[in-house]
Amino acid sequence: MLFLCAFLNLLLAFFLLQKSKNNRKDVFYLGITALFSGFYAFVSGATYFFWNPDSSASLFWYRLTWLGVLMMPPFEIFTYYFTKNIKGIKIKAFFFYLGAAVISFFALFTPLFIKSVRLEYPNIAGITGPLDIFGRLYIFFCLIIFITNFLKEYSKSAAFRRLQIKYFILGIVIYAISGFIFTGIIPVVSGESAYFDILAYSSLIWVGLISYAILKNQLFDIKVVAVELLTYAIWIFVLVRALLSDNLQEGILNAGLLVFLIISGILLIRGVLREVKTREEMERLAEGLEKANARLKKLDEAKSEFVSIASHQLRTPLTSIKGLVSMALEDFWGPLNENQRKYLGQVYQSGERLLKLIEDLLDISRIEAGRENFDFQPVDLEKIIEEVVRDLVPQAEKKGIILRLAGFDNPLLDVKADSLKIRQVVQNLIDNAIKYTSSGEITVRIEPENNFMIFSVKDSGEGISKEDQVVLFEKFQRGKGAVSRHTEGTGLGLYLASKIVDAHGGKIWVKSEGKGKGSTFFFSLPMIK
Amino acid sequence: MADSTSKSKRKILIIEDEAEILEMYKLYFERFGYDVIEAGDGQTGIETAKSQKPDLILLDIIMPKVDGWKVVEELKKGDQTRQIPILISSNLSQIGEIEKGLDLGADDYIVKADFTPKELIEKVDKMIRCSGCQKEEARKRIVAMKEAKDLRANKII
Repeated sequence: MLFLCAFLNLLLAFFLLQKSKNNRKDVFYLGITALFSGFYAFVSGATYFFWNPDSSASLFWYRLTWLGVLMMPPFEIFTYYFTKNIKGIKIKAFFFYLGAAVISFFALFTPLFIKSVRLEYPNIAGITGPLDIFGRLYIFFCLIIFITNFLKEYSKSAAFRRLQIKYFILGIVIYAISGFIFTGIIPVVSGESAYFDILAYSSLIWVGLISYAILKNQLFDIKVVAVELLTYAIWIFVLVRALLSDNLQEGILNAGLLVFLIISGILLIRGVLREVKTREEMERLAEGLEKANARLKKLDEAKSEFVSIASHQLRTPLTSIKGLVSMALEDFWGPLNENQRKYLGQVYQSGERLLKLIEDLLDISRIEAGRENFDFQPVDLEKIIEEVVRDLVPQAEKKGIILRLAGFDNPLLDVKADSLKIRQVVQNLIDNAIKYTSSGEITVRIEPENNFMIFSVKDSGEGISKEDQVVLFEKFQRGKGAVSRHTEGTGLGLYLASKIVDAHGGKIWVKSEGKGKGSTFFFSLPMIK
Repeated sequence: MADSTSKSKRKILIIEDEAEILEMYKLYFERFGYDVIEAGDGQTGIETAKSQKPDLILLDIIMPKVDGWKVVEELKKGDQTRQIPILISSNLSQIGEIEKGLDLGADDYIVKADFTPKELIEKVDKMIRCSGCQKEEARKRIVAMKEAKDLRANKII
């Protein structure tokens, strides 16, 4: 019976240790535990098997049993700590192991733990020595530490791992409690360890529980286990048949069958393994995604808060710069000479540009975060455009450009829009046209097409290369020519315009025949039906 | 532009924790005939407003300990200080923040960096003139501004 128990334990240990290769620590611990249990049960069995009236031989086996018991918990802690890559913790692990070694030494070679054995066939009772109690307390202590460590890990783990750890801890606790009662309390109370072999049997509960965990919670997949067992059984069966074949013909046939079965078996096992791996991976990924999503949401909130505060902080020094320079330009501290006026004027303009940039960034971060509230109302596009054109005519005249609003041929239909935002887009497009046109004229036009109102600004300016047209509406993109010839502009205007038009369900685009041929910017807004 | 020869000196309380900005405004307002009282934080601001009764309060929002929101609340609660016009001048520019300021009872709200001292003093002049005689107009403007939900409208007016 004890040998069977040992065999099962060792089998489980072998299986678990093999599985633990792909870095699964909990499985590794299980393997170690099973290994020691197996050792323990085996030595217990041996004690009976080599039943000998010579008490010194029995004493040797009995002490050897204790080696298994004493080494197991500390060894698990040792490996637990050792696999963690935390500085200093390895020293701790060594102390545990050192303690185990010292205690085991005493247990094995001195009468301090086990004085002698009393032989009462079929039982061997150990007469405990004075230090016996410390050994037991030590094991108890180790188990407590081990379990609390896992409980800590449990609280940090993902849901599907939690179940595994739960069963794992339950198994250990049952094992530990049975060990504690049968080899910890009863012998101390009664003064002898007559019940120690019950611990070996209780390791069977342990084996059973692990099997249950495997079945129930896919500690590793039952499918793999079943397929492997079945395959091995068939192999052995066919192998035996091949060996026991009556004649050569049958033998060759069976050997061929065996080869075929081995190949297909390996393929089968691999396939199942891959499937299981994929599923585990997917579970992990799904869980990861969920977490990442939640984190992104938080980050997004933090970002928009950050942008708000950052823009506030950026504006504060700009208030002084702009204010003080404007005072200087007003001759607040006495008249300026020509150069001072010119260059302070440039400082002022730079400050203004920086403020505009900050404002645009804030707008964009609001729109990107979906926090911008658009106030959609039926608006009179014609009126907005007329107003913007009127405002910008002086700016165009200054450069000697004609800014012209094409007459509306058809009665214009209303669109639903946020009038302030659309005004911003119109202004931005016309403003750009003036900025990048040195002579000629700019025509602003609006006309219905299908279910959309199409707004356009056609200029006789520099034109835009095909490559630039592609990226023009992206963040911080400015036409290559634009960067070298015009320093103003934030690189955000068109991006912002495209975001606003997007939010209206419209489109924004540009047409240009290429360099030097002018360009036309369009945007469309859906009409109210 | 402020008229430096006006009968009695106008008294303005500036509650602002940024020393540089405070100094700049003080310089400018004094040049144009204002009597400037400074307060470097919200608590001092509330006390000074109660004791000095200024013609207008220029108020920052982000300040250590007692912030601008609290100051507006306190001053609009007190009987002696309720009628003093408060102009919030902050670099917080979100619509929600502007609305909050007006809802708490501030008379107007500007984004600090958008205004040069000259533009600011024009605004302050207008508000002081208005506080007694054209309060209604100011209210209307605030309503219009809230409806417009955009601070830029404020600059146009």
